[in-house]
Amino acid sequence: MTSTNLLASWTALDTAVVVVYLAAVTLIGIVVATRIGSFDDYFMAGRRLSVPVLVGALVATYYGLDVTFGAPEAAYYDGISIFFAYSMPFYLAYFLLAVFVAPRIHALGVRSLPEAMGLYYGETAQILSAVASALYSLPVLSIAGMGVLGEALFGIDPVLSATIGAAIAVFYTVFGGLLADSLTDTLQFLIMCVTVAIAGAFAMVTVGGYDQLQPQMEPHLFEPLGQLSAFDIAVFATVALTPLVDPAFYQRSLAAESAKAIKYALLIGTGIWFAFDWLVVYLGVAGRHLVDTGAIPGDIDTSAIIVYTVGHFLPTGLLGLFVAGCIAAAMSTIDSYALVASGNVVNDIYSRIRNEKLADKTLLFATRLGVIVTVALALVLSFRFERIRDMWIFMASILVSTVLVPMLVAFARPAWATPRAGAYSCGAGLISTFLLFFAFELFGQFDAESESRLLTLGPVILDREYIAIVTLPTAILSFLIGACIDRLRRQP
Amino acid sequence: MNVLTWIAVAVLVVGSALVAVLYLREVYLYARKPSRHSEAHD
Repeated sequence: MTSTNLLASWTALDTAVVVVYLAAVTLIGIVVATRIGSFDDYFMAGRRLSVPVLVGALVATYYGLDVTFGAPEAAYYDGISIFFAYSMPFYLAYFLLAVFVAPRIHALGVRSLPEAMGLYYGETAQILSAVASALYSLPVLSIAGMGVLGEALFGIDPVLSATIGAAIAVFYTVFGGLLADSLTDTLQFLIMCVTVAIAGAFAMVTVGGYDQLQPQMEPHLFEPLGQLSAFDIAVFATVALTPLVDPAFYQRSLAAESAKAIKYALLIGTGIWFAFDWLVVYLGVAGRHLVDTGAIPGDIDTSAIIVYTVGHFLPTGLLGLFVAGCIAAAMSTIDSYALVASGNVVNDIYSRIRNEKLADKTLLFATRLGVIVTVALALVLSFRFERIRDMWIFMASILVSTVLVPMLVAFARPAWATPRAGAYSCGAGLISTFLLFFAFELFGQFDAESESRLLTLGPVILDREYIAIVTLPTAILSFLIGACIDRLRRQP
Repeated sequence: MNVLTWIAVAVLVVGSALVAVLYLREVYLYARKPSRHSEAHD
């Protein structure tokens, strides 16, 4: 079944499911808006998020269309190694986050990741972290994904479908803040999980599981580490450290009703992420089998392989649920990160630069306005970049390079957290990422085989996807230099 | 491997069902709490 006949089998019931979903999230925003009285109500949900709401908010926020579409596409080419080499290191990071990091974040009592940095390292580190956090949180990927979804499913102009989806997410986030965001995330989490579970079950019954597929398909698809090099795996492990400094995780940890609540929510979430990853990777491999056997045309856009695979299995009536699940995956990410980015700019940059404590009403108004500006900016950027992946690499590298080293040192050894160490590390991480990224743009060459830009520096060939391999050691070195200077100055 | 896939299906179904029940309980308790507007009105 191709996208064309996926649309042909669309019924009024499918439309009704999507309409009910969109109406429900809008209604939640309106109802919650009546309970917002202060900035803490808006940005921190009154610091009373409970375990079930946190589970939904964490899972739905962190898993957008990049995972729902990206993992099956990667599995289509590289098989189950995507689960073992790419997804599994993340579970270790989630576990560390749950057990060691999140309870410490919660105890800080601040409002954001940059504010936590400011608490340990001072104003410069807070502002630099806020810049990195706001850039990372621009929901470019999910907004572009909404465009791809609208075009792949219904042939709607991608800019129009992305604008409609983003506008609805903005509507309920502007009104209801983090509470509306978390409540809608929970609804979105339920739809995402049920959709993937049903699709997985239908695929198992129709084409069989890995045990049935393995004898009929290429062997490398079933090797746990596939054709990945040790270097690839090391790079994946570095990327997996991102959750330890993800600003949305910090916001939810700080908004949890207790340290125990965020710890349990993350541990439960890890189980859900494991199951979700396993199934979307399986659906990617099953999609490859359908293409190999001619059940799906070979000339399809593989970035939407899950759409074709699920469309092949799901009966009429459940298609609407699947589409609602895809919209939910994108919207839950757009709303959460737009709120974080806006909060970073207003609370951590504007307020600190003006060096004054803004009135609660001003903060509330500015953050609401910031949500609209953030999504509008992301909407423009999502259609300016030729390759969305380039934007994502830049955003993730900037966050990890700027914040990871000083934040983890502060949690592990608070005595080592000195102002210069934080400022130098953040500054070096931020600047080196910018410089390297633009060096790749100006002097690098696109390599079709690796689908990335390569930069030749004498005997060394650098891949742009791996710039954190250079910027992270730069941040560590700068941290040590800053710490040494502070120590020397303190000595009589 | 097939067993793992069925376990994954079960985890998502049971996990989302549990979260749904607890979530509805939260929404019910939340809805019973008077809003700031009605508090101000009272």
